[in-house]
Amino acid sequence: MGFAALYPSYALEPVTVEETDHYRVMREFCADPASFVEAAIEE
Amino acid sequence: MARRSRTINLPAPYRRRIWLEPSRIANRAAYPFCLPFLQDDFELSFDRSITIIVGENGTGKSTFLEGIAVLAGYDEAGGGKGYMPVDHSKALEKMGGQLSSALRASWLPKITNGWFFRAESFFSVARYLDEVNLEFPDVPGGTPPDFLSHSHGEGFLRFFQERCQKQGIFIFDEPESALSPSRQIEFLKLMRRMDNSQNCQIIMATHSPVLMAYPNARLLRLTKYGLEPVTVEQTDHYKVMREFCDDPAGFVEAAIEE
Repeated sequence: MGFAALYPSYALEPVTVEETDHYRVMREFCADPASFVEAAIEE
Repeated sequence: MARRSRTINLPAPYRRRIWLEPSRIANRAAYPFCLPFLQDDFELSFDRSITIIVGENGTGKSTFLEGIAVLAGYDEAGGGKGYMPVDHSKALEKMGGQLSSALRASWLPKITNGWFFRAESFFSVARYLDEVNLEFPDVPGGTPPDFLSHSHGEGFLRFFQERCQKQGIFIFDEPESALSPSRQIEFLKLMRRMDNSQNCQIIMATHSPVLMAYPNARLLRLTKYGLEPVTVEQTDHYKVMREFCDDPAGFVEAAIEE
């Protein structure tokens, strides 16, 4: 049984830096650090 | 019968001040006492529950944190009071202990609970905790915490969430090293809960602008001249990240050109 069959929700796919969550989070943060953090940690 | 430590009804910060006692230094030319920021009049006051230290590699942040941790009764390799899970008897670099011998601290009151977290020794500490609980399955609450069967970041977060609920002084050296940006936000939430509890003091060194931006923390930059207050936006870490976010490809092309 292959990896994709074992883990149907996980796969490897090409992506650009700009499409990653890491980059999006960083960009949002850089635009306004204080507001970003306040909004992000609100529980 | 073991004494149970009770919660002391005073708010953090508990460690109020640290200062260097030059008369306790045997050799000024030897590391760590030759670190430029360790001038004779070096001192650091803690006026907030959360103190965050930033600075370039090599400025002595980690050594300074080790010194603070040893002064609090923790092993310089990481852990809590009484934990010595890392065999570093043959280690050549044991600088925090040396530095602590020349540091003095004032407390209100002295708190001995807490944890010294170092990314590099996390797995040794986590393995120790897993194994101890496997060896003694009958101890109350002795279910193996099983930190190591989780992904790196998940294990870190579970570990933090479990260890950082009680009153204490918590020292973190670069906790972001295993945390993705979204997990860093989870870590910020944990910091907020600790802050709101008013009985946790955090002293943290980080390279992560996201963690630096925790509101209501005292953010300090360590340079060869000492510690100075700084805003997130003034740090090199933030400036580099912002430049990168504006144009990832252009930034990297320019940065790696030799």
